[in-house]
Amino acid sequence: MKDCLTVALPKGRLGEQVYARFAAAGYPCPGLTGDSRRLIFETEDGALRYFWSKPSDVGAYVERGAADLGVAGRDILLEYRPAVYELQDLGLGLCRMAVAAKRGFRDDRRRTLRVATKFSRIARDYYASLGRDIDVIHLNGSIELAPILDLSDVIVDIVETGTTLKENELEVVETILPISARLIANKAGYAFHKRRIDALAAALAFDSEE
Amino acid sequence: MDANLDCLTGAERAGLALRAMYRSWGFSQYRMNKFEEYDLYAQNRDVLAAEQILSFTGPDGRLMALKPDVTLSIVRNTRDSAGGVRKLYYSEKVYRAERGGPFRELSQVGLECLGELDDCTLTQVLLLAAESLRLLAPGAPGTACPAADWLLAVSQPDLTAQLLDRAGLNAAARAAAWDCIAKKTPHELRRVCREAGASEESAGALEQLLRCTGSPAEALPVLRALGCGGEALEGFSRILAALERLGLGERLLVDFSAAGELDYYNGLVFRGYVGGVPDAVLSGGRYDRLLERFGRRDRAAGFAVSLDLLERLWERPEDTDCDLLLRYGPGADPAALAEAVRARQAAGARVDAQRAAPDGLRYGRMEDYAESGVETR
Repeated sequence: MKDCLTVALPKGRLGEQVYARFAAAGYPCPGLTGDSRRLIFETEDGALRYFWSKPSDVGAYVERGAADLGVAGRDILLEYRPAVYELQDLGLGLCRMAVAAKRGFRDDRRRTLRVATKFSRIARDYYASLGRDIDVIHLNGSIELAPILDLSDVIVDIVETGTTLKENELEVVETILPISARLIANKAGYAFHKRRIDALAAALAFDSEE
Repeated sequence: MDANLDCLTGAERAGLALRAMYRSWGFSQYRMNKFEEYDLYAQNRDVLAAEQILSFTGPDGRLMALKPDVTLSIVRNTRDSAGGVRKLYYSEKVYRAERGGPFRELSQVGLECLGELDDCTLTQVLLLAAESLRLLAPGAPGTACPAADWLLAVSQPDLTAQLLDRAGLNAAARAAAWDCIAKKTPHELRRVCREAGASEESAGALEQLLRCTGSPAEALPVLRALGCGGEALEGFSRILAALERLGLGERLLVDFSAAGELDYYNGLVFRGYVGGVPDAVLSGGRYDRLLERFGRRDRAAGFAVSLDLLERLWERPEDTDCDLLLRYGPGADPAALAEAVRARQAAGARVDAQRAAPDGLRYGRMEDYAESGVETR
């Protein structure tokens, strides 16, 4: 068995915050934040190796055991449902999954609601819980355009500050759920490396309560 | 007939090794049809691991299904054992589509004990689960990886149920809490308990159960301190003690996340992990409630090994399609050429006779065949 635990970190601003938490918890790896073209980075003591991943791919790396641990937003976990342990709420990347629409939008229940989103499963589950008939339009980016161009009535998307919505005369109609970054673990990896993973999770949690 | 097992895939060799072991413990093979009436699965969908079932209309108009599960068929198609225990093993294909993916054919080998189960039978089931993992783990003869590592994670869902009862959660919150324990998600468990109005003490106990992962010596005192008890705990302790006496102590991991997936398990649930495989390769438990659903008096326990997960672990990489390419020229005598191939196979080599090597054929070495003899180059 390999001694080193492999950690999948999400690329982007959240990933930088997450790495800072790992570093502060005693798992620094200076090369990770440099300009190197390397893909995998190991800590000096060989305890961990990190790699950056597209946020939506973190779950797949962890579920399939290519990474023992990873950090993924609750949105990603609910949308892709990887079969992993969700060990810790890191309290980072706080935002919410929300329904937004053009200012003054009123839902006409006589019509099927057109919903544009990157998060089709979350949208379907949410509206199914309300018994609302919807037509999901799956988009991969610039979701806010959809109601403006009348591609959809509403969007289901992540809202952090709401500035982009405001600038485009959109507003939040409903909050579906709060989102934050979670520490996830491969199930078999956890069974074999329980003590080390628990120690790491505890170190990350301690920092989150500071 | 002496068969050369080198031609088998890793999963096939693993399956054969397991079947031989189960036979040696007095289990007899249960063969079944690939198809069952769809109603069997439709009526028991809640206990199936498969989300989708492959169905078709039979020649007589009945709706049929390709088996997504073996245990259900065994329960339906066997009778109560009327004393003693019926011990069966199987090696079957099942057909499932999970989490929105395509349908796949999966190979399962497993065993079932149906009858009057006692500690001896349950210990034997768990011992055979452990021996299966020992046999399958990297480092075992025939596997590609050098290091041996495997673990059997065991839990007792009735103990989880005791703490959920104490928390007084409603049905929805109970299901959500169960899911949190299965995913080892303490922060969501706290939220579920808080929103359902559970006391801090009972929510704390559930969180400790969620975190209670360790050897029997570590876990059992925690369970007692949490107020778990009765035959659920005593029976669990007895079985764990028996397994420890069998030298399995270091391979056991008490882990309550193992209890969360199928509704039909009670009494004992376990999962097996081998190093190098990212998911549990073995899963099983006691499933008396499933038999009750079919009006059976028997009790039952068993497990299944997912051979497909072991494919890469047990596969010996083959760099070549054949060891020897015997290249013959125009006018070669077919019978003499066949004899020449046969003579070279005697040493166990894979020999391919061709006029010319087709594109992409990988071979160890090549010989030019001549009628008067063999020229080597």
